[in-house]
Amino acid sequence: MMIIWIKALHVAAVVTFLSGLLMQSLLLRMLVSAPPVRLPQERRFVSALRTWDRAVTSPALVLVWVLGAFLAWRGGWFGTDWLNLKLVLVVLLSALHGMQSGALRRTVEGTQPAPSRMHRWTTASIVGATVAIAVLVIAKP
Amino acid sequence: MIDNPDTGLEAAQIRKLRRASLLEGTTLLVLIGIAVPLKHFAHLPQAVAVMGPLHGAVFMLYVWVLLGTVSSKWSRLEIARLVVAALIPFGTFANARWLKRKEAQLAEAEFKISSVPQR
Repeated sequence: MMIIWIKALHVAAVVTFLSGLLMQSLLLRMLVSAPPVRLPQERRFVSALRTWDRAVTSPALVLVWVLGAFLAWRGGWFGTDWLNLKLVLVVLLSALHGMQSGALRRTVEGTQPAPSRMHRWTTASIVGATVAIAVLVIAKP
Repeated sequence: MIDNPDTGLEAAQIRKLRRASLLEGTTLLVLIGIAVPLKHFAHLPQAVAVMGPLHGAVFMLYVWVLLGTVSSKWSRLEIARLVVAALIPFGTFANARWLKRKEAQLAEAEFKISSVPQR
């Protein structure tokens, strides 16, 4: 019974993390081709997203990993193909979160006015990874 | 680049990386210096069962902080140093000293920028 609650919490953490990740990605995508962020209100907007990231998205990421590891251990799923593939995708999404957080920090501090052009592709990659993870978890091919 | 970049944020990020380095180095040493010998010489596998996943989690935290810190301003050698050191005992402790120097340099740069009179 407890497992169902932990699974529900894990899914809630995943949704919260993915929404934060997508917000970062969309903002960086806009900043790639926009003029450098210099106006106080522009920097306030990026700072507000960074505050959300620290307060909500990052703790959600920790919960995703802790609860996910517990569920995989209890379910005896470590070593299965679908989970191995899912773990690769989750590691990549977690790494992307770190990179995007760094890019937003450099935008606010002014040391890197325009993010790298790779941020044009991250939004589609996040959506693609999410679809793949959902298929792996539900269908377990 | 804009005038007067806020290097305080970068210094704070380097401080986070330094702390993550020390934590990663510590868990690695506890794993290979205490947990593994306990398993093989004292037949106590429980320490590895705990320290293994813990070190794994801390290593991933270190990589996550590392990815949020490095940028095109860091040379490939510096980035390689940060990655390789995490795999070697005491490697991240050596990096921590170097990162502390970088932090101090940024703090000095921040002081010089803030000392310039604003018109």
